[in-house]
Amino acid sequence: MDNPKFFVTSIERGAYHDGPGLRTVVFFQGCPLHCAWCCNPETQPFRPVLLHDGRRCVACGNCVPHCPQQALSLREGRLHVDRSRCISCGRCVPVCPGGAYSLSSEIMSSEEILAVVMKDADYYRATGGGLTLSGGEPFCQQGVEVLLSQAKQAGLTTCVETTAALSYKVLESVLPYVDFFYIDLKHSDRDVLLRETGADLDLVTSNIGKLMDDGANVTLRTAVIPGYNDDLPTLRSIFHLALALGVTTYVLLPFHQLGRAKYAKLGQPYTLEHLKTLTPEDMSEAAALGRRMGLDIRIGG
Amino acid sequence: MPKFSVETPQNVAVSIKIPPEMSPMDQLELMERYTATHRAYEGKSREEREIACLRVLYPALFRSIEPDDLFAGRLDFLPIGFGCVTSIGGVGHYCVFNKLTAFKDLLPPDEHERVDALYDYWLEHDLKTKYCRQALKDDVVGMFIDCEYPLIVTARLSGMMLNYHMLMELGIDGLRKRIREQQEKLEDNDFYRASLASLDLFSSCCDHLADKTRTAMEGSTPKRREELLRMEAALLHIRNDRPETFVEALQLFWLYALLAGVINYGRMDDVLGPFLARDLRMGRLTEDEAFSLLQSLWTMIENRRTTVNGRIIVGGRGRRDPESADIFTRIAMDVAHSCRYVEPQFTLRFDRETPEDIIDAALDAIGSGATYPTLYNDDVHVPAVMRAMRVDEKTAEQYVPFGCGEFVIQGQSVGTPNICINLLKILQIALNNGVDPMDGIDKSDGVPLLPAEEIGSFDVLFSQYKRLLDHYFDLSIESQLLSYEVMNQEVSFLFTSILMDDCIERGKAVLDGGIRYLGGTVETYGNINVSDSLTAIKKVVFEDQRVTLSALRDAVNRDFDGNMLLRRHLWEAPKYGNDNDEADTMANEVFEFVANGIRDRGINAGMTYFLIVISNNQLNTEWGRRTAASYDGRRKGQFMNPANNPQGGANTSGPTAMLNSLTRFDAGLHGGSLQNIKFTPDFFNGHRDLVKKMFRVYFDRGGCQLMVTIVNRGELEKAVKNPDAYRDLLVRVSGFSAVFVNLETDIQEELMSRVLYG
Ligand code: SF4
Ligand code: SF4
Repeated sequence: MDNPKFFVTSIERGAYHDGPGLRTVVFFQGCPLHCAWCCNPETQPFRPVLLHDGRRCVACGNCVPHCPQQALSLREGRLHVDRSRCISCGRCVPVCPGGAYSLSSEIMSSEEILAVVMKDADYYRATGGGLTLSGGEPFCQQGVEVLLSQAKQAGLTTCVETTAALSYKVLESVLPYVDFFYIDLKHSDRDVLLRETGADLDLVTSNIGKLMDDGANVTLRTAVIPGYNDDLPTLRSIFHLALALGVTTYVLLPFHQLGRAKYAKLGQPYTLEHLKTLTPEDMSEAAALGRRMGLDIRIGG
Repeated sequence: MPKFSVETPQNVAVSIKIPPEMSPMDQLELMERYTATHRAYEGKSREEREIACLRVLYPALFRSIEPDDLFAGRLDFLPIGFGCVTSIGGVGHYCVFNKLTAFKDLLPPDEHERVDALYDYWLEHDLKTKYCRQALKDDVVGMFIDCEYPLIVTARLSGMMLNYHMLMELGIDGLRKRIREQQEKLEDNDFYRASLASLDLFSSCCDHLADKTRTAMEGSTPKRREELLRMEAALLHIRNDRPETFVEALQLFWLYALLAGVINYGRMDDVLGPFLARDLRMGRLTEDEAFSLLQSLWTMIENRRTTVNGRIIVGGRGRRDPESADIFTRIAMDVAHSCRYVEPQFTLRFDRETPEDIIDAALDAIGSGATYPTLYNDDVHVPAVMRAMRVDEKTAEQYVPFGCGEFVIQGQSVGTPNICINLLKILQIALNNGVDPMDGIDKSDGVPLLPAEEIGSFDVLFSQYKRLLDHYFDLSIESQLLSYEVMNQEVSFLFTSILMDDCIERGKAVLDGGIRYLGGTVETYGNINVSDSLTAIKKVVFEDQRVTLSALRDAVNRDFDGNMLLRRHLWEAPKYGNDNDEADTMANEVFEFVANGIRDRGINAGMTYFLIVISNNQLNTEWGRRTAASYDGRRKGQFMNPANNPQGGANTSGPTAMLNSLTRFDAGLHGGSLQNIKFTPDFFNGHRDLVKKMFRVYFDRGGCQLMVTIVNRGELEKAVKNPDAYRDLLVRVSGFSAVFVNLETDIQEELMSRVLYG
């Protein structure tokens, strides 16, 4: 398998938040967790899903007869997608005059991905940037180690944003090809973490520990969510956990609602509407706490 | 005779002019005197007439010295007078008819007849009107700025940047001496005599202003009195002698620029830097005083309110004393940072040798939202200008952008953009059998065209478009040359000619054979709409075969009414600005055809250069209003793409992709090309090191120029809703900067449509 294929949801060039320098971030389809604050919910399923943008839909009905599954109907001047019927065949996408539909991902080979990535080679060289894999969970992608090794061969720095909620074997296999691991540490309470995200805290922490033992460059990140983990005692215990694992590089990501529109496009409820968007300034107390505890804390990105 | 309205506004004006100090009755009398003089010199040489008319205007038009001025020289502009550009006053012996009409309202009704008499006289004598009568062609060639036409033309002498080195070295007396020497060496002529008379007029203006300083001294504070005494001494010094101090040099330069009627100033660091450095070294001036003097210069330039001019250029290759020049540059950078004026258009030329602190100061000023300096890469431009203008390296090093971004060689070339061409309109005409779908009028000017039904391939379509373009290029060169001919018949632009190489040596005015390099430029509009249209047609019609070409034409002519799906397919075809090879290659192909087409015609006509400039003020939006829907998915009446940038919203692939697209064109084929980019402060200021390196890569890859606007996400939208809270928000429109909330609605929309990075 020297040219594996992937479900890629998007590629973002000139990114500056996801690892050192200017980077190209490749987002993949499929994640084992289900965090309510996920800002890329379309990447959670392992198969492409259909997005329908109600703001672009003029309810013309053009798409309805094109659906082989009878998943589409016009009712009271509005277009409805019956998600239980939709098989993401994509036939409705090109026939919509408003461009309301899209499939969450398309298939790209590692060669195709790298062709896009390498267009910015000059910028990586100048800034110490490179390729970042994100998602979704990049390590759930078959063949990701091939993509990473090819990127290394091309002289790029590589960074992977991962949940680390998977078997260490996978992480171990990519060790030679990953320069920076960005790992989410979402909570320090086993039960809360499992309930809210589906992640197994022991698995995550043991993976982080092993990565540290194996000499990997690990940055931990916490999305700070009001009412979930934004109180200082919780943050303190998360920071403790990090220090116990031997990690000092830390990023706090203030909660935002930028992913909200995507939930509407997926026909899913957005449950965090009532939460306040946090600013970098809101993070200052937490950051000060972390710094006092010995962490090297950055806010945002 | 072609149909046109003499009252058409002749240029883009966003900044509101300061009203004249002179009372309306005094203005009327002065205009009458000017008109009578002009009439009396009928039949005399143009030089005699020009100097006689100038004597009517100066020193009469000088305003009082304002309390904060640190050197002298403010002018009123009247609807009738003499000038060389359209941004202030008019061209040659001019009448700006719409302003004269408006002026009438300031007078009591029983005086209106007097204005009417002037109006009637100037209908026959205004230079630009004379030009229009000869140059315009119904439905095909229109006047500035009449957006119904595919091609608009004017007569003006824009962008003159004078040889101030010569002025500083010789002083007024030295210039007199040089002219006299030439008078003896060659033979005496009206040009020499009138030039000498112009210098005498300069001296009497110095005296007049010195008087004004004495008036201003009455009742002034001791500190102010000292400033005014310094001003007076400088004026009395430079009336004949070459300047010794920075204040004298500044005063000499400024007064000369005013009398020449130029509104772009050029390499001020090179000209004034050595004076400044010496004064600082000798303790004649403190850094703070230097800062105040430059601030005063900034204010003087701002107060002229030309909207799209006022260029001050610092940095770059080919300066005589770079170290002293950089002292000027550093202070100027601070002034630009703190003033936040829309003019002067402060421009930094740089190359790999430019001191790091100057680059950093530039990025700081930009990061503060000043929109200045605009950045020009000498590593690309110097060799490019050599090829584009066919000059040697030493000459090319003296390139300077003026106005919206056209290049001239300071003190050596004429490069006025007297033609604007709407490339997109011409594509629509080519696809519609010669008819402009916007108004149903045939604008083919007799060029035989196939109907869309008979165009069987993309190549046939492209070559039909090129054929029509070729015809419009022919009209462009004809109109440019005619503008020179008409101006030369009427005037000598005496003050300008004296300081342009090689007018004194040859004894000829700039347009009479005096100028060393006779150039010219054509502003192109809609270049990217055209290339994206062609890419989309190729894909949607000829590759995917979704529609026939004639069905496409019809749907687009209906502004996609009933066929929004087609619009979407066109809009989703590859677009320039995304580092997409297909779209960028097409953009380059269109660019090369247009650039070479214009350039070759200039060379064949014996000009040193005739080049396209991919510049823009806000004409992309104004012309867009009168341009039908296009094949790239752009709606009828919507703005066209700005300068060399993508259509707003089309570039969705991040900043590096956009920068890569921008570098696709050969700078050696154009005379200036503008690139806008918008960043959030989070990216630009929060990650300055990355931004700096990113720019470095862009410039190393052949990026020639960059202009940066810094705004927060959603900030422009908020400013639209609550303008009063955003009076300080500056944006780079293209060839000029503006207070965002002062712009018209659709121009604001165009600005908002541009992709914001970060
Ligand atoms: S075709 Fe598009 S606009 Fe029309 S109903 Fe379907 S989704 Fe809405
Ligand atoms: S993606 Fe296919 S199955 Fe789903 S709604 Fe569209 S046409 Fe129907």
